[in-house]
Amino acid sequence: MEIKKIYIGNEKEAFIEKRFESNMNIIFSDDNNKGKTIVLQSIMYALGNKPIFPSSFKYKQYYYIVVFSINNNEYELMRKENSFTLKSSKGINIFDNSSELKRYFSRNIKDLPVIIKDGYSKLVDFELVIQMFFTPQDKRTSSNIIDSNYYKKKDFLNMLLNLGGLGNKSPESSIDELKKKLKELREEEKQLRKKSKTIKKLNNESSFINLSTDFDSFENRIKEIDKIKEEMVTSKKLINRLITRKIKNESTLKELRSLNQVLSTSEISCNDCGSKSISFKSADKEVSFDITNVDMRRNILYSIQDKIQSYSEEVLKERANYNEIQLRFKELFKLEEVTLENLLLFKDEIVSDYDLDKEIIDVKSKITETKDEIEVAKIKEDKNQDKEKNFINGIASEMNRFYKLIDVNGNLVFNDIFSSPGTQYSGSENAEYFICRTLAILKATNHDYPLILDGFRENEISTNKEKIIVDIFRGLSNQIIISATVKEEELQKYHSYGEEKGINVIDYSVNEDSKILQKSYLGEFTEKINDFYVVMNYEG
Amino acid sequence: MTYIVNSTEKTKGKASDFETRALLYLMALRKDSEEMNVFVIDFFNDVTSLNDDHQKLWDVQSKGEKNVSADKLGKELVTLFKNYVSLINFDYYILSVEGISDNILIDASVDEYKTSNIKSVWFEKVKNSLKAEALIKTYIDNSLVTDVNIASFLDNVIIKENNHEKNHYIKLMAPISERNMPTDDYLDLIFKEIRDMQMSKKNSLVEGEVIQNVSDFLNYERHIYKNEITLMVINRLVNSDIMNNSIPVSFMPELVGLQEIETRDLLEDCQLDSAKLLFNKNLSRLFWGFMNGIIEEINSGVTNLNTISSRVIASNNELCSQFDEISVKFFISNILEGLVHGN
Repeated sequence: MEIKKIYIGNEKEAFIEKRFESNMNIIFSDDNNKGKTIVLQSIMYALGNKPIFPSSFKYKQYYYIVVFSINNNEYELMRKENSFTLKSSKGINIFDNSSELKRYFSRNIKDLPVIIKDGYSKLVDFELVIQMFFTPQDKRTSSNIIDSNYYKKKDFLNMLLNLGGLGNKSPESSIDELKKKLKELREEEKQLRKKSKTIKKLNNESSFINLSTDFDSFENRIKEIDKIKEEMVTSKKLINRLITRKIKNESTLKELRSLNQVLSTSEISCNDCGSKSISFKSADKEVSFDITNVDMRRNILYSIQDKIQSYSEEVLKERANYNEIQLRFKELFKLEEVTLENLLLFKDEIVSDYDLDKEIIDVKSKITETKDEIEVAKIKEDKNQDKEKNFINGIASEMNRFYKLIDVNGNLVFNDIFSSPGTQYSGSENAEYFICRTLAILKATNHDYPLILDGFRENEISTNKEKIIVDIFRGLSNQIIISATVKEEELQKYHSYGEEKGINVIDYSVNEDSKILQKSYLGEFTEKINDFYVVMNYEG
Repeated sequence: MTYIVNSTEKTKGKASDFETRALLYLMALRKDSEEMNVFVIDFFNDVTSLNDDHQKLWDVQSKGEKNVSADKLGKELVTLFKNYVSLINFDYYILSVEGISDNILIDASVDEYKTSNIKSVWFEKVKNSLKAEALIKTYIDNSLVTDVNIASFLDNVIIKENNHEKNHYIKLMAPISERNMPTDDYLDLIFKEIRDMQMSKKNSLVEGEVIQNVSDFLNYERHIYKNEITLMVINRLVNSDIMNNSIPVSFMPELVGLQEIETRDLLEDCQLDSAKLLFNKNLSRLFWGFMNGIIEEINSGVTNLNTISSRVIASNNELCSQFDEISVKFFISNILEGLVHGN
C-alpha cells in the first residue's frame, strides 16, 4: 500500500500534499505548528482512524481525501465525519460508517485481519490496523493501545497473531477459571447495585451555594457542560439512527427469505411408467427463467447480513462512546463550582453516586470481556498456546534487537510488545520504543502498509541514533513517511538527505505558522471534491 | 408442405453442454446473430434459429467430440442433410463440433469453414460416409440420397469448431466491460442455467409429429426467444451484487441537495427495494416485461434516466406501483450504469 496524496479542506480553505513518493519521505520543519501533524493525522483519519488532531484544529469542518494505491490499483477515499466515499476504477461507493467501509475494503481491495470480539469473529477496524504502522505525535502510551475504548490491548495482540497465521485464542486461563471469574464478577455487580440503591443522591451541601469568586471559570464550566450535553444528544441520535437502519435491514432480510420460499414440496410422477419427467403447464404463459439465480440471491442476502453486522458493531462502539461521554459529564458534577442553578437545570442527568456507577460500568465491561474469553476458549482447543507465546516473544526479541542497533548503550529491555501497566516510557526512550515496535511488527507480519511516524525523533534523539534509524528505514521495501521538527542548523542536513540518500524530503518550514490551510489550494481542492459529486456545505 | 419431426433425443452431460454452445454460437458469435429471433430446441435439429417472420432459418447439429474423423463427420451430417432435402428451405446448415481432426483439414488454424477446407482424399470419405448413413436412415427418402444432392449439400454446409470456454459466450452477450464483469464461476453458472432451460424444452414428446408450416413449432413449446435469454443474462450480470454496486452516475442528480445522512439512507433504501424486486418470484412475468422495456429504450439510444423512467413506469404500472418511484429509478439507473455509463 502506498499513500500518494492527501487533500484537506472545505469551501473556504484547503491544503493538498501530493509530493509523496513510493520510497522514504521525510516531512520536516524548523518549527512546530507548520502542519506536519495535521497532514499525517488527516491521512489516518481519512483511512478510518479516530481523530487525534491538535485540539485547536476544528477537524469536523473539513473534508479529507486520501489517494492511495494497492497492487497497482489507485483508490480515492473521502471522509466527512462518519461518512466515507470511495472512488476507484469500478465507480463510486458510499459507506454509512467505517464498519461498512472495512467490509467492502476487505472483500474488494485488501484482506483485513480477523479477531474474536464480542462473541463473534469480526474484521478489525482501521483504527486498530493503523496502530501497527502509524505512530502519532501525541497520546503515545507504551503500556496500551492508543485510545483504548472499544478495542483493548488483547485485540491488538490477537490481530498480530491473526496476521502471523495463528488463531484467536483465549488467554492462558482455562475455561473453568474463566467461569469462576465470571461468577465472581456477577456477584460483585450484584453487590454494587445493592449499595448504589441505598446511597443518597449527590451530596448537595458541599457542591452548591458556593457562589464562585471566579465567575469566568464558572461560566466555562457551564460551557463545558453544554458541550458535553450536546455530545450526548448527538451520540444518542446516532445510536437511534443506527438501530433504526439495522431494524430496517433485518425486516427486509426476513421479507426476502419469505419471498424466496419454494411453495411446492411434493413430487409428481407418471402413473403408467413412473417417470418424473413431466412438464407442467399453467394457464398463464410460463417464464423461461427465474428473476434471480442462487448466486445473486446469496450475494444479496450476504450483503444485507453484512450491513446488519456493521450496524450492530457501530451501535456497540457508539454505546461505548456514549458511556465515556457520560462519565466525563458526571466528572464535572464532582467539582465545587456546580451551583444549584445547574443542578436544577440538569437534574435529569444527575446520578445517585458517581463512583459506584463507574465501578458498575467497569465490572460490566469486565463481565463482557470474560464472556468473550470463555466463548473463544470454547470455540477452539488451545493447542497453539506455545506457538502464540513464541510469536509474541519473537516480536519482543526483535524489538530488543532493533533497540540494540539503534541505542548500543541503552538500558531498556522489552519483555513484551507493551510495557507493563503503570510503566510509561518517556522522551527519547518512548520514541525508540515505538520505532522498535513498529519495525518488529513489520518483520513478524510482513505487512505491506506504509510506516508512518509523526515526530520520529521526539525529544531529540541523538544524531548518531537518528542516522541509524534513517538507514534502517531506507532499507525497507514499505513506503516510509516520517516527520520531524529540526533545528535551523539541521535544515541543510535534511535537505541533503535527498541527494545523498535518495530520500524524498518535504520542507514545511515555509508554511505559515498554525495556518496550513490556504485559499490558494481551493481551486484544485474543489475540483477534486466535485469528482465525488459532493456539494459542500460549510458547517461553521 | 409437410415436415415430420424425427431423430429427437434426450442428452446428458457433455453433449448438452455442447448443444448450449451451439445455441450461444448462434446467439452471439455470428455476424448475423442480430437477425435471429427465436431458437427451437430438438425439433428440426439440435438447435434451429429463426428470424422475426420465420422466413430465415439457421439449422445446427451439435456434436461434443474432439478430433472427429472424416468418417464420423460424414455420419454426423446426416440430420442436416435430412433437412436439406426436406420441403423446408433452411438458409444455413451448420455442424457445431468440439473439434475436427487436424489431419483432414487444409488449414487447421481456422475454426469456422466450409467443406472446401477438407483435404480432397478425406472429403471423399466424408461424402461416402454421409451417403451410406443417409441411406440407412428411415426418415430420409432414399430417392433423395443422390450424388447431386449430397454434393450440393456439402457445398453449403458450415463446420464450426465451437470449443470456447463457457464464460466466453456469456461475456459476449451483454456490452459490459471486463472490469465490471463478475467472476468466471458466476458466468459458468449462467451458462448452466441456459443449458438446463434448453434441456427442459426436450421434455415433451414430438417424435413423429407432422407440421404443415414452419411456424407450427410454436404449438409444441420447444422454443425460446433470444430476447428472454438476453434479458436474463443482462439481469444476472448487472445485478449480480446489487447491494454493493457503485452509485450509478445517472442517479447522482437525484442526490443533489441532500445531506450526507439522507444520501446514505436513500441509497440503502433503494438497494433494499431493488433486492425485494429481484427476490419476488410472484412478479416474474411482470419483471421480465419491465426489463424488456428498459433494454428497448437503451437499445434505441435513449440514455437519459428520467426519459427512460417515465416511459417504462407508465407502461409497467402494475409492477412499478408496488415500489417507490425513486427506487424504480435507482433500479433503472443500475442497468444504465452496467450497460452504458460504467463502460
